[in-house]
Amino acid sequence: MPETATAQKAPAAGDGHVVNPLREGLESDRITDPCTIVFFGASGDLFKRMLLPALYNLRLGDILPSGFAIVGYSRTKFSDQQFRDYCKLSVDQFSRSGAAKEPMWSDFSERISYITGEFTDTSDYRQLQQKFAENEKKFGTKGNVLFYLATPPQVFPTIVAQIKSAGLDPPSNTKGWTRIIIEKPFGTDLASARSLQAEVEKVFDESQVYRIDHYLGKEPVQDIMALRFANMIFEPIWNRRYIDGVQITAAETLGVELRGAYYDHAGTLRDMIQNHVINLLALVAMEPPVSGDADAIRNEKFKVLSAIEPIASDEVFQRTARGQYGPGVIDGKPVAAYRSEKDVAPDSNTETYAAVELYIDNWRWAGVPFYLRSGKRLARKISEIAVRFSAIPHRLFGERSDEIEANVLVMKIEPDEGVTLRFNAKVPGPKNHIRGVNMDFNYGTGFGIESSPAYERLIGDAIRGDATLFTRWDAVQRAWQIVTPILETWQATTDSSFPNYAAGGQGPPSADRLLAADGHAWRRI
Amino acid sequence: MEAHLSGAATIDLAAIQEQLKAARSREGAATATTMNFVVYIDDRSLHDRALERAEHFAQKYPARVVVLDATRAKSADVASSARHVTESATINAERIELGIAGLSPKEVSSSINSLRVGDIPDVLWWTSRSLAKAALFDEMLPLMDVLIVDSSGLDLAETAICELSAFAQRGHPILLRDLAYMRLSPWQDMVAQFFDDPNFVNELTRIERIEISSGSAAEACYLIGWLASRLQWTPCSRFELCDSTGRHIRVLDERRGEMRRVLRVALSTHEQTFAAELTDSADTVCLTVTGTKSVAKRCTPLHHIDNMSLLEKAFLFSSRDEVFEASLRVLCDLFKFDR
Repeated sequence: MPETATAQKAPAAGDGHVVNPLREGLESDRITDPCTIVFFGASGDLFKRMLLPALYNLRLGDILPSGFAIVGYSRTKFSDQQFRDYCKLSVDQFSRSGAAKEPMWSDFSERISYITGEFTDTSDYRQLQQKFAENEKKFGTKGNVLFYLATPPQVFPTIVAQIKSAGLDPPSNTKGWTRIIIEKPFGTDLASARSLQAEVEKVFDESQVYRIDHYLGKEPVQDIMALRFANMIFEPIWNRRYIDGVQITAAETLGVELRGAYYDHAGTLRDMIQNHVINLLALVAMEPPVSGDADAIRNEKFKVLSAIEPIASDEVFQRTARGQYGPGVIDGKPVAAYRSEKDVAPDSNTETYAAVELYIDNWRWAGVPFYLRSGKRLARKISEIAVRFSAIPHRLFGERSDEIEANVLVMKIEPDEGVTLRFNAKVPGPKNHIRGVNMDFNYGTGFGIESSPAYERLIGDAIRGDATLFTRWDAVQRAWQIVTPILETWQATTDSSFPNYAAGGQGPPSADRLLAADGHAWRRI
Repeated sequence: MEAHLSGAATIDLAAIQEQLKAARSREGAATATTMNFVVYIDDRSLHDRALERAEHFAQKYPARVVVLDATRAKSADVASSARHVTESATINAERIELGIAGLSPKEVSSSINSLRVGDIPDVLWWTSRSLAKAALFDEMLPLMDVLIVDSSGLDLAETAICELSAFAQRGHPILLRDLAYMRLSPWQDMVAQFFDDPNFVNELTRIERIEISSGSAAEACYLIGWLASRLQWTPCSRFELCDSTGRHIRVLDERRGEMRRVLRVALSTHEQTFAAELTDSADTVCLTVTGTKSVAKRCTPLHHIDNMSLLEKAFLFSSRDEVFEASLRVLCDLFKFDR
């Protein structure tokens, strides 16, 4: 029988694209879109500690596409083989799966190459064209390119502009897609963020830009949406009628470590509140999206941020608190004051603690305070969102009803990822004594599955073209608009009380006063 | 904590409950139990291995494990151990081993009913070589949400597969999982990978020969059944499948290597061969395409095929596997042809 005349046809999708029938019903996380990933800043710490180990583990997990290649680009001089050796050391040292093993390492490493290049020299960028062609031929990368900016942020605008000058921009790539991942911080204030965005817009369409905030890749952060929108019991009471206030905390025990030079110019408001913490607020407070589509979710996040009225300059000191740690004790060990840290000015006015009270002016949240706080050298490392419900409306249990606690739903991001609901129960005995008890869900015990590190999830999503967990420009801009009056006021005034909290403590007294004025109190860190 | 509670005329369920309650209250903090995991054993030689896996499983997924040992006379052993995972959470691994020889199916299922923790999933791991004939099996089904079997390594893999097919067609709401089929998941994915490439997807309509080397029969059978069910092939002899145009696809099935392990799968057209082959490292498979259009060799890790991972997967995915059931149906039709 002549095969060509009678062979059955493989099924075609509606767009004429032939569907692989073996894929139906198959459980696989593997990305099918091939690509070359270019890392600018490939000799840097982020690439070495986080990004390359993430890629290697994606490969070990069989999640990377069959056709992929990695190109490192940096000023440090490496040959391809030297760079592969450098990458192997990085995997050996930092990969969660342990040291690189054969034959997988050879298979992975032969896809790695390197370009020694200046960020300002167009001719160096042009070498990438040749790499792409080689990778396409050798590994079937199909012309798809993902750029990753893992350099210091000052170089972002230069690299973006050079991508265009060297003809590597999306319109010049007629063979496949071109995307870019941009590390945080996206600007250091509203003006610089707008300036960077202006450069980005000249080269990339918003749909091609993936602004990464690794916090959003953490599993418990993703679970906020599941908790809210995969359960019927929370959404009906998720509003001003039943919720008394929301506290979002991102507390660290670490100091600035080796980042003193950066941190002394940034401070906690820029480093944590403007991005991580405001993103958490958006997830907790947004309206239900119409679908799980990236833009449907990001539309809702932007809408809720738009409903936050930035604090007026003359109210900044009533609705915020800032702090800087002095010497203290953490985990039983003495630690130095911030001003004694390496590369920090001895008279620094930079805050290492920030607390902010925000209100969302919409139908759902009007009048409900959202208290955000973040700080370094605090008593414990804790990231959580605590939703405190209103007091019961009617006393049923005699005099002791004054002691009845408000219900609190706590979404714990780290450590001990999970959810706790605090509710009241009767203490066994003849009297109506009521006491708060916890109902705990813990990821470790509930699922027993180790969640993927955030960078693995996010790099995988960018290759897939799923921007859900990346921040859109409108949200970035709005977050800067929210914090700008605070930044400007704080910068314009020196806080003579600094240092105003001891390392290992709960933060400055001014933060307690901020909540006490509304009859609230911070949860203990 | 361990206690042996045998010797009574019947199994003393109240005493077992009391033991478990006492162990839990000793822990003080909140404890977690996420499932009842019932293991049925009727072969003494499988006992220790099955028990070891159940223990491992219960350590990771806090479970109340109930072992039904049909090789032992009426007896009960209770063991409980606790592991603090956070400040406020303690994993309680509880194991109750019941000797059920001599008990009626109703007595056994009633005991299970009393011992299970309410409102959490009930998983039955049926390790018996006879998959679906025992009266106890039928008695237990209404109590269970997930049924796990392993047709691999059985002397009569074909019989087992047909029993499962018949069971699946009964439309019972229980989720049916065969570890032998689940073990193939990475191989299925690797075979599919060849044809993700638009240059090769049409080659699927030109396959002339399938070669499978594996240590036991069930794996090879399932791969054939899966391919046939996806590509609309039907059996036309014991060693051949036919596509919808009547074209024949020859099947070469070789027994080689360790039980429960696949060594090589190759699909060939007139011009191309797509082969996935286990390397010497035993945890990596290399994929090659040879012929008129060749592509670079690619290696891929072979993971999550150990029984622990498979057991996890068996209950973590909570929907029916329709592709598995379709594969079962094709295979049963194939087995109707004599060798």
